[in-house]
Amino acid sequence: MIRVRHLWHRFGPFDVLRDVSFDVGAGEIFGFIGPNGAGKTTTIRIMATLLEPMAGRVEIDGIDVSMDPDAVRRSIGYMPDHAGVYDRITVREYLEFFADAFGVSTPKVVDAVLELTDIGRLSDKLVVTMSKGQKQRLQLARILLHDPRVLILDEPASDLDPRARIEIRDLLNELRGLGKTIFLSSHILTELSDVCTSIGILERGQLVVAGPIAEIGARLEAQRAAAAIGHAPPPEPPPAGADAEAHAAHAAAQAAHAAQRPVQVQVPGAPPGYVAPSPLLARRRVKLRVIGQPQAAAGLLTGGPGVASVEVNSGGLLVTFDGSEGVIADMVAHLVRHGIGVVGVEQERNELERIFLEVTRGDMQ
Amino acid sequence: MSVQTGEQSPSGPASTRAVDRARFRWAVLLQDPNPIWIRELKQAARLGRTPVILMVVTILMALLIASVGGVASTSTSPARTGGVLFQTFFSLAFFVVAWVGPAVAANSIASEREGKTWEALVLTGLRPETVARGKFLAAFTAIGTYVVMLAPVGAVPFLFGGVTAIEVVVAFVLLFVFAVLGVAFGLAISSKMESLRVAIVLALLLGVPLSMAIFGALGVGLSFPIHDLWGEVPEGLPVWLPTAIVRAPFGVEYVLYLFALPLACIAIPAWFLYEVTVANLTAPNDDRSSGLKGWFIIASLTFFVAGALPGFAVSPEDLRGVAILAATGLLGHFAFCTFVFAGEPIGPSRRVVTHWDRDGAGRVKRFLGPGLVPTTTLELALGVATIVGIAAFCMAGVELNANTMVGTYRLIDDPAEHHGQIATFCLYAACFYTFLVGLRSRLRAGGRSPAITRVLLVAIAFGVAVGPWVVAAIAGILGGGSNDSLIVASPSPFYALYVLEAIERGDEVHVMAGTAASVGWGALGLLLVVSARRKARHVMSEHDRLLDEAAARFTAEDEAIEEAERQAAAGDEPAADEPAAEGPHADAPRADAPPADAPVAPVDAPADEPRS
Repeated sequence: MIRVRHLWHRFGPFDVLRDVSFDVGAGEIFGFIGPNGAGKTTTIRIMATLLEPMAGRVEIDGIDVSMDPDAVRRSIGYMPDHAGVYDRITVREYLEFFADAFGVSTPKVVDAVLELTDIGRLSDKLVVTMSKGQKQRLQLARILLHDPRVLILDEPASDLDPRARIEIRDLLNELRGLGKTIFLSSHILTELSDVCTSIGILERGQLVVAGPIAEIGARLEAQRAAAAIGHAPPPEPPPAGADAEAHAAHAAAQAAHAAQRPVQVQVPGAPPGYVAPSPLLARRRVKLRVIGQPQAAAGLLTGGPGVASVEVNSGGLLVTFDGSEGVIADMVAHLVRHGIGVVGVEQERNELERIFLEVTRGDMQ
Repeated sequence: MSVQTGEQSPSGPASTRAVDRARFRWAVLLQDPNPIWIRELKQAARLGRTPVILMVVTILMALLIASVGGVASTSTSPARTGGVLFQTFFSLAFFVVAWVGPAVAANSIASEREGKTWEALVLTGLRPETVARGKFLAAFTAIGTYVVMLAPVGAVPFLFGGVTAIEVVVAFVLLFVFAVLGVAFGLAISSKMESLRVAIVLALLLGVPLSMAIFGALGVGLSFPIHDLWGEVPEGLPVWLPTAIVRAPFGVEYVLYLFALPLACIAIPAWFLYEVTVANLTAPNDDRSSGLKGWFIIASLTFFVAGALPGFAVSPEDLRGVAILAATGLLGHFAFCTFVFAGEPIGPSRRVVTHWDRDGAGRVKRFLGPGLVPTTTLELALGVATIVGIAAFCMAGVELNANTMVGTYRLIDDPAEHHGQIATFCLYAACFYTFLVGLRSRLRAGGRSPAITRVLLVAIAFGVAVGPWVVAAIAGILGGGSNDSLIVASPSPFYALYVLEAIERGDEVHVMAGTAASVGWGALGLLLVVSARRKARHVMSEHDRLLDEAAARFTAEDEAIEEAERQAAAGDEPAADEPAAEGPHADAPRADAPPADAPVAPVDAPADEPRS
């Protein structure tokens, strides 16, 4: 549905996008993640036909955005970050105007999107008096008027309160159920982890990793596990948009992995010399809730395999460790064997946050 | 149908006849109006301060007119007082329209950009022309409201006499017509600006002096020749056109000077401003040229006709003056267009070419589309042809009357001198114009941005026009004030005026110098044109080559991926050195490669900025 190939863009002397390639399949919710200034909005504006790419190709629904932007505009609905609204106009008038502008032939469409986005009760309210969350819903209603197949949302939940975020998330899931392909960017990982089927992480204008969250997590986990026992990381899936030359380079990078100790992950798509933080150095933390005797439990775990440190806090133990999920299982089993009941295991970060921290370096453009 | 109004869209037109097409357009205007216009009307209706502003303006105007009327009526007759009030009211109304119109229009597009609603509007797929018309109608409606509110005050002079009701009505109609120009002017500025305040300030900074110049030159200034032509029209009064339209006897001159000329004076600049607005709203890779080139052709021909027409009205001995004035006016128009077309891309973008191929565009459409080479050709052809045409027309008029006698005197005492002056002046104008076009084209073909090209063009033209006179002045001082030193000023286009005097004096040295300078400019201009054409074609062929290479590599990559997918589907694992099957998502390859080396190449970049 969305196909981005070797996308480059430059503002003045700065390369804001460097050879970005990825695909988004039909019916997916793709989260585009990256720190501020990573190039997310530039990529999105190119996809939305608002910016001409300097090199590369972007296709939406099989149409090249550079060759036929008018056709692409009929296929997409784009909601920018901090979109403006017109003064002195009601919600219904706002949508009626855009319905006319989109060439929608019947007023029933306006009623339908009002109902879908649950702002029908606000239809006579002036747009400027709406809350931020209501305006975001209105923007979503606007981009649904012409029934686009692809929705491109730039930071849809930024500045929203928790309730509005949950509502937007539910709405996105509903839209996905209607067969829409959704591409949304954010730098708030928690809002993406519950809704996205796959992600792409952008840093300093380069795509660091892309794919389904579970797949990426499993890949990193496997690498981490292999590294923990001194093996080379398992082969990674082939890179997207890879031509033979690029694939060869990728394979060479993997061969280099095998030859190097300690093992480092050559992030696909990264320039030579760019190396993601080693999984061996990627420390993780887990909270263990135990029944009574937390000091004794801490004593049992301290110095164990992979355990870096153990802290006792009000709720239990906070254990810092290196290695895979197996280390957690070993710790729990060790405590149970010694008669300490474990009533809760809570990883400090969710999967998406962990992936993000592992594959990015935190550099700013 | 229009969702905003609930009206069904009209079907049709019933046939291709002009009448049916016009009926259809009118039905569309009523039943399927411009969506932007309707939305802005709704917004304007809710603006609480509008009635207050309108009321305040009307009251102030009423008080002013009452004061002027009160003062005037103490010393003059009611009829004369009516005339004074008429002039006062419509002069003030002119400035209200000339200042408020551009300011209101400047607010339109810039406010969308500043309010971050512009992108949503662009993505609806509305054509730039539709947006421009919607914004124009909204601003025109706003300024029209002001004029309508002032109408009762404007009717006061009629009550005093001295001015007929028809004159008042015509004056109001002319206010609306002038508002078209004011709104188009503000809209053109707004279309280029990102900031609302900058747009309004710029519109007023340019609009105020411009309106004063128009008021002085076309109002007070033009009233004197009009009075000479028709004694019924009083001289020295700024608002003369309504009076002339009502009182002047109908005839060819009436149609020409009171209908065609004012209409052209409004329509040609308004059309130009509309095309500039549309071009500014159009993406750089789209066709931004065709509209402006259409205007250029029609405007140039109109100016040519306007320049030639006085030749029929004046005495044959004044044909020389007509030729010089017309050639000067044409040179000014074409030089301005050279400046405007400095924004022309070196060639059509791949997107434009694709659309041309898809639509089966013919040679004319492609010639009038984007591209430096066709634009240069068009400019030179029209510019040189019209200047030479004016010269030929006036020289023919002189020749036809060469032997005409008035009593015992020849009507034209020295036809050869007239021929020489017309030919020399027009030759200089045509050659210098060729140089300007060549210089502009070469600067653009060299990859300079439109802004840099314009700055360099103006700087060089100014230097060439003024520099030689400075040198001549220094040479004159050093040479003891001899006229011979003026020869060094011959490269300046103003030297053509001096050559006219030299021809009268029989000073062949200066005539030769002027002719040599014009030939020099012409030759240099042609050389620059040839060089620009070569450079432009080279840039475009290189650009096309890069695009073709990129397309080929993308195709090869796609084929490799498809092949790998087929192998994967067949249960074969791709070998390590083969292109791998692509999953629904994967990572970017070879990010370290520069665009030129990687399987990456310029997309359909604007041809003036070849990217590699």
